[in-house]
Amino acid sequence: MTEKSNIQAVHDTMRDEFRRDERVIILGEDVGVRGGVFRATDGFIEEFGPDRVIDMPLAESNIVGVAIGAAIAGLVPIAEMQFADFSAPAFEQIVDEAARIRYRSNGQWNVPIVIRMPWGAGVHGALYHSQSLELFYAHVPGLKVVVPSTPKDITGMLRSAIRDPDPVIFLEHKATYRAVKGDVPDGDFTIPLGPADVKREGTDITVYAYGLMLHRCLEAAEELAAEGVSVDVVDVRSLRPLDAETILREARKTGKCLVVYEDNRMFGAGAEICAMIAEEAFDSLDAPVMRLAGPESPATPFNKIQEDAFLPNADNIATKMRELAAY
Amino acid sequence: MSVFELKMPKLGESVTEGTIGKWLKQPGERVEKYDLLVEVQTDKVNTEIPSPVAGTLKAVNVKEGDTVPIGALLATFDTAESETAAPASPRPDNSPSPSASQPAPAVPAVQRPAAATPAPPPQPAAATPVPPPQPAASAPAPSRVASAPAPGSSSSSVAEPAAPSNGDIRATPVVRRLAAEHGVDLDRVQGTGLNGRVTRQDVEQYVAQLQAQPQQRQAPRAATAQTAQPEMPQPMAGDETIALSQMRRAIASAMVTSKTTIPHAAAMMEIDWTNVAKFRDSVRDLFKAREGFELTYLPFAIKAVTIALRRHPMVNAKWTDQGILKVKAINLGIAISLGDEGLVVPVIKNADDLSITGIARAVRDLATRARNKKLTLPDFDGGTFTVNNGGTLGTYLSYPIVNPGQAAIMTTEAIGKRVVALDDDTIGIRTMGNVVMSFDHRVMDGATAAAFLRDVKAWIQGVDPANVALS
Repeated sequence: MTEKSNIQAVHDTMRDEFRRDERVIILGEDVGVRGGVFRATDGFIEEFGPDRVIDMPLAESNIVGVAIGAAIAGLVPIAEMQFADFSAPAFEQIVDEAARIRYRSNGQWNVPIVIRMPWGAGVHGALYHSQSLELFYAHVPGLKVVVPSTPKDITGMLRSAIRDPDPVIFLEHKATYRAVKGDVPDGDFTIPLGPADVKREGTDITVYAYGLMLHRCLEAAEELAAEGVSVDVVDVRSLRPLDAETILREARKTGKCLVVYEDNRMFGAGAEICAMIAEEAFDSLDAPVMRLAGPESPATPFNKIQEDAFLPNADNIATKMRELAAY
Repeated sequence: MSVFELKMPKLGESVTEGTIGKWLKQPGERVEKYDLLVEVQTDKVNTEIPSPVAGTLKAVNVKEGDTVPIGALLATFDTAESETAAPASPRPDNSPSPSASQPAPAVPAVQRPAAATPAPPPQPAAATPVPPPQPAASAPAPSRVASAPAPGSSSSSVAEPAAPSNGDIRATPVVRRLAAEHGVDLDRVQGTGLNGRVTRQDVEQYVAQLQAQPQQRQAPRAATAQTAQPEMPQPMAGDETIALSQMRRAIASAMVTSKTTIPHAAAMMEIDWTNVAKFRDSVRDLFKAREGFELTYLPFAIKAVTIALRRHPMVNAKWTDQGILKVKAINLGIAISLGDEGLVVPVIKNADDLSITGIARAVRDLATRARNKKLTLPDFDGGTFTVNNGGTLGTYLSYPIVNPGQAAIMTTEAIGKRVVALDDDTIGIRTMGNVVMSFDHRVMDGATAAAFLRDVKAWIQGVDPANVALS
């Protein structure tokens, strides 16, 4: 058992996989000499050399396209988008090619790549360094999209992602990189891509979240506990596949559900969770399924006060939880 | 001005009643929100209840030392602000959903003199705990603060219809389903939700009361037949009666439940602990210096159990009439003796995540807090299997009782040197000890229990004495 931050977990897991399997390579902007803008590949080029740790030009479609080709040719590439925001130019490669090659070739070809993307707001990154893009990719059959946010989950799920035979979008919330620390079991364990995880057991209301919002919900749940409201917190750490079994079980347990996400509320990934609960757990519901999410704004503002107002925080999450508990 | 009724909150999983300790505020005293009001002892922990509202404590309804069920009326308050906003009957002109968390500053300044004077004589009307219905106008029917967990007390939740019309009642899907299943007329259930809405808890409690009532009427026969409590014999000179503590009662109730509902069977296995003993010797000083306490055999037994439970999920399970619930989490209850006072079984959550050292620290933490009475209710929740360590007391064979809600309990017996015949037909001195497992024979059979114990044994015997990294 070792205590790590989220970024350390990313770094150490990739390093271990590099040592375990020499087919693993990484491609991205500044991943080599610079060691990654978040230091995720610190020391990699020294240990594994420039053939496996490849600095790429500022052309994301190229990074993903080359990774797809290398994967089909037998390597196990990790493509790093320096920020999730920059993945838009690679969208066509990810969605039209990587996600569909298995289908298009009738199962003869598969694309074992991991596309890592630091995402999310809360670091004063404004328009180009704050976006939530999980929804765009979670909409596409053929991709797996995961959003772990603790060092243990990141370690176990990144291992699973690298060993997965198909493309995985691996989203790392950048505001948790150094802020979130936790114990990671030693040894070569994996956590499957799919199952949600109940991070806090409760009996009065159930709250679903992932990424930075998970940690803010846990904080708010603690506040509510002091008031006598027992909050169940589900970490939806995988969006595709989405763990219907756990989500519905926890919904039926309390009959009162709240989904929190930082992406724009309308058409966000949380909306899918709400719909699933409303369709499948209808006769267990004791309140309307509620949502708390980002406002209708074209982008995350730069100004700190506005960014704080933009993101759900422990206070307004707690207020929403009280509203639901009182219903 | 309104009246707030404080009810006994539900203090944890499987807690049904509590004993009032000391009242920290007296009638007439001004109380701020979150001020500690009263000490409550349950069968698991002692705790202090904070005030959910600000106001004046008007009357205390339960004496110190009395035991009352969850939901019982504990005290009433005069609250200056209308924190307890929701009126019992829906008013059309009401704005739809006042955010429950923010107290509406309804009548801030003007306080009626009665509440301002800290006069001891409680006002009889609202202080009376039971039935007499209050004149309609005097106060809004007891409503609760959004954050108060307790549902309506038994006396208040079965009431005359609060809503005027029968028939067209709006209710959530789960309330409709429960009402249909139990044939409940929702008109008769007093709602405690937003704007007097009937919540799931309200229906569940109403049903529980309906079920309880007929039993009470048939009480005389049923009681004698079922419980058959032995009478207290006439004490002889020098005999002494010990009053039953909450803990004693809880232990008694759990043990009777277990022994009368779970068909117990047991299996014992002898384990060679020599490797573990050697390992302990080799890291003894290092461990002591690093952790500040001795490494015992127990963490090894616990580690072995977590590994064996993963391989034998039927041992980490729970009997229900709908089916056997295989539990994913491995949360180990650890029996900790408090001497004659009793014992507690706090839980190490996700014990399979921990190293030997991690387990040793967790056990020590629980034991220390148990002795200092610092365990909190979450420490007791969610156990899936129990480990008992009777061996430290010198027992060689004991027959533990399965914790209700689990499928098995394992106890480690005394470990000591014995002469044994070895595989190569020589005679040797080995460190031996037994483990005994009691199990719910509905959930598993002897073969499963034995296979589980074989894996426990194999892991313990397979400890590499040279592998210092293990600790």
